[in-house]
Amino acid sequence: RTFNSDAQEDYWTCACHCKIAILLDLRRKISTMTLFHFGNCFSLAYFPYFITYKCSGLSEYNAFWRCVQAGATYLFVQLCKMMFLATFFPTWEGGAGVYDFVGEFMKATVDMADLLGLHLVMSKNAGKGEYKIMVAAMGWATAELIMSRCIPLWVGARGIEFDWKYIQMSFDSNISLVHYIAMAAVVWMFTRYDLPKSFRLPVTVLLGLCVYKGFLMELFVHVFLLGSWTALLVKALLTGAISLCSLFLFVTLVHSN
Amino acid sequence: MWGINMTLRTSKVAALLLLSVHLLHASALPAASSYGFNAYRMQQYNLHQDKHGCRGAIVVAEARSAADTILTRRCVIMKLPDFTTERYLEAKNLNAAAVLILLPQNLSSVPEDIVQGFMVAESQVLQKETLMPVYVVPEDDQLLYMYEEVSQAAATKSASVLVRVLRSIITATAFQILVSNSSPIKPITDTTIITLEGVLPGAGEDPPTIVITAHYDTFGLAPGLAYGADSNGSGVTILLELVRLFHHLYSDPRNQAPYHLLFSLTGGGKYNFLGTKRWLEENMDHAESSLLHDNVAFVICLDSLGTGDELFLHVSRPPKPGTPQYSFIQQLEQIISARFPWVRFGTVHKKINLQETNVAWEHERYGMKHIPGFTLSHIENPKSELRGSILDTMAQVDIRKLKRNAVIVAESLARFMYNLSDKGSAKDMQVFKGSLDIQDSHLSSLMSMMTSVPRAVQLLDREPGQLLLISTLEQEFKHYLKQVHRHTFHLDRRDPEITFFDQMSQPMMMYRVKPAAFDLFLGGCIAGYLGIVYYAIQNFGIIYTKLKATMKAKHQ
Repeated sequence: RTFNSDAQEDYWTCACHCKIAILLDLRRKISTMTLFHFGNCFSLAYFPYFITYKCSGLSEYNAFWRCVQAGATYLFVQLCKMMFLATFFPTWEGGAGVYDFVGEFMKATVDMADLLGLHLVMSKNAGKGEYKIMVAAMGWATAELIMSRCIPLWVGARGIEFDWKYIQMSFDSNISLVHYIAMAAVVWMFTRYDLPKSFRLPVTVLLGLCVYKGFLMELFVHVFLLGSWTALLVKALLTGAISLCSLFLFVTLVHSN
Repeated sequence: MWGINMTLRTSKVAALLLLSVHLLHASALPAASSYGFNAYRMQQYNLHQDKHGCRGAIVVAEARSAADTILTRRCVIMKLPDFTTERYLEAKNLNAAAVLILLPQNLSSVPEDIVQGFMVAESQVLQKETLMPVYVVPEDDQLLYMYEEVSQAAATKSASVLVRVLRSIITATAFQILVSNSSPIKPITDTTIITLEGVLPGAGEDPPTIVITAHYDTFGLAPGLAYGADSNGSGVTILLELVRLFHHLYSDPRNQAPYHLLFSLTGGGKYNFLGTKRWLEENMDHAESSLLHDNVAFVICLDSLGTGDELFLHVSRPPKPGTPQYSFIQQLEQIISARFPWVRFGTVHKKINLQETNVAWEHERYGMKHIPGFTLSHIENPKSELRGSILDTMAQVDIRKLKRNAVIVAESLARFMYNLSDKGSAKDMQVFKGSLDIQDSHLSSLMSMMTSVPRAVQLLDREPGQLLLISTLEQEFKHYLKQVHRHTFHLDRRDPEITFFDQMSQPMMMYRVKPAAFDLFLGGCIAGYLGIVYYAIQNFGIIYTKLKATMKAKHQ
């Protein structure tokens, strides 16, 4: 029947149909384009892990299940840390804009549990130093990627709005991979019984830097009011410096005697 | 020579560093990726089977500037100077999806001609109906940022092709405006109009009545933003001031003049004075005895007296000499010429046309019931855009001119009622002075009370803030006047004179989106980065062996 612009029913049904058609169209556009963005972010985050796994020769040694074990240890350590923090560090009701340096420092100290966890994983695996480090680091970093990045990406990057923070999150996961490899190497070096005296100090300093890197980054952002991209750059530089130092120390240690 | 080279090099490096730092800082966009706010929809009403306003509410469109060429199925973002009749009709003809108007917070800094242009467009837009939704929203940082981005995008359309392509792929930020609601727009069926009345009884046996009335509702593009300071907050303020002054005069029985004073605050004034019509019907047709039945000297309607150096007296029939209206008008002219000679005073005759549906001034409703009256206003043209605009805020009212108009009305009334000129009083004698003086601070506090909430008819009978305002006015009446009544008129269900529609304020979402080509471009960049990472990891072994060799060489 013909549309009568005066009749209320006709106008309402037309508005309904019109609205449904528009939403369908938009949803079609959303599903193609923002899934593409999610794919971008996911590949940016995951691809380096995949390449590292393949190229470090771990796949030849059937290290997959050992990496999964390392990931399970990561989950366990995170759970313990959360319970510890919840018990001994109740929420700070201080001023809204005041950054509680001491409190955050104490919280960062709890991250020492990460070192213990890595040591636990590495002591369980027999084999060369490089093999142990890579297995522990790969499992640990992949577990962190799945736990803390996949879900925000899935929920957020598929939305209609565009935000740079998802790309930044994916870059951050790349940096985390390098960071965990360096951390595992430093922990391995620290626990060696044949560590020369001259190496003790640099290794301890690097260990401290690894644990407090997060705290240092927050300090920088707060004091210098860095933008998000600048903060990412500083984080990359810091991680790069730590990893280069640990690489030098590792090579010197392993191949000097 | 070498020193100059070094300084040049270091300065170049320093400049590059500064630039990169600045770019990195600037890359932190101030806009949130999604932002929700409340937008006011243009009002929609049916007056005597004529449809006015916008019929649509749903918006799913990309934001574009008004200066853009392609506006089809887009939401046009306009600031105050952009909203003119031509631009609006252009948007309508190009089938734009919606119009969003940004209203500045501080209206007193807007130039007069822009305000005028906006008001004219506003009144013209509301005369017809349109399917395209029109929303008004007060400005804030996020919306201003969006406006800047969208204007820049329109401006670069004229640039070269390469710049345009680069811009559209890489740096452009598009905005998607979304208003979604699942329910269709419904008419409001239980509109009520409230009219208040109160009396100051005069001295003597059955003296004549002077009616002083003002309508207290407002009209504008969006009902939620219609504050109506000049039209008609100023009229209500002067009426309340007259109530207070004559209450003080009449409190002493020896001072009572031989006139009853009937004060009335009517609703529905902006829609052909519906409140006045119903109140007159109730008093004259249904009430057994009413002050309006017999012996009304005249009716003074106060309408927009907040600014301007002119005063117009609108009558439907020129008053004959010897009638009370004629002597009152003489008093007005005398007061103005004696004390305020720079004020231009004029009488405007406009015959009541019973065929026309639109009632121009409030006194015409009384004229239809054969009650003589006139309207006092600084506006000459009844169809003026100043009588119904959302830009009619306190910035449009000058308190000193409001006080001057209040003095003129009060003094003329006093001189007429007490017959002072016949008794030989000087023309510039002040009746109200000392403790009875009209004070600026009192007037401005009354104006602030009136403009504290938007007084659109759609909101007056249901929103708590507006109901509180009406109760406050009633309390004021009860404090000073006797026989205070509050009349609540319901509109006829089957054939209402006016129908309003709901969904006057909608939550609106603004999303920052990137064009489709940008995702592909970003994908390409990420592929390049991953290629570099792959190459680096593959060749890490070579670096490792090289490092081993260097260490071995050092130790040997």
